[in-house]
Amino acid sequence: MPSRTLGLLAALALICGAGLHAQVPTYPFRDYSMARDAELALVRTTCLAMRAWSAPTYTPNQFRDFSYDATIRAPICFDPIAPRTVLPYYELRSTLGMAGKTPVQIADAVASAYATGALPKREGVSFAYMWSAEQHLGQASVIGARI
Amino acid sequence: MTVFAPYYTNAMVGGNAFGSPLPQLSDDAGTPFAVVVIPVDPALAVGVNGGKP
Repeated sequence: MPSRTLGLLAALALICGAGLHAQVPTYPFRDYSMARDAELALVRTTCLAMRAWSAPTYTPNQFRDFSYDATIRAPICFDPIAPRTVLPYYELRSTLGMAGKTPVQIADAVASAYATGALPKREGVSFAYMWSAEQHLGQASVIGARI
Repeated sequence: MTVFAPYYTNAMVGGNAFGSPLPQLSDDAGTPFAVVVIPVDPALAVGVNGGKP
């Protein structure tokens, strides 16, 4: 899927949050897109189209193999807290995935980064929504894990 | 809706089955990266112009 299309998916996820003031940063990652600076209203949020590298790190075990399912498209919008505490985690997972690391290697690297403080500590709750008709979440969407 | 709820387990949100229409732990239960998913009926969505999508 062209990166422009992925950017459009991120923008659509953003529009689903109509009434929000959304910011969608650009990304240096090849084939990992975000829309840019779409400002809609009052609350700042950040939207992107996540790829398969956003699969779980540990469990469910069967979903870890999603890391290399090229069909997965997961438009998502983060609340104002998640970009500081959660997005770095997905950035790291994406970097490792694009470097060809296996799910086990990704899990080891994530655990190490969290232990050393390279990833921010998760000390509170943050939110996101995924509400795009264009999303494809692989097997998880088939069983209705995320709607 | 997705809730990033560090160290949550499925039991903490009701022990609902994976894939059910109720809140459930979808990713990495019991870890800092735990994700709670709250399914939402698409029929409740509000369109851009205030109507149904």
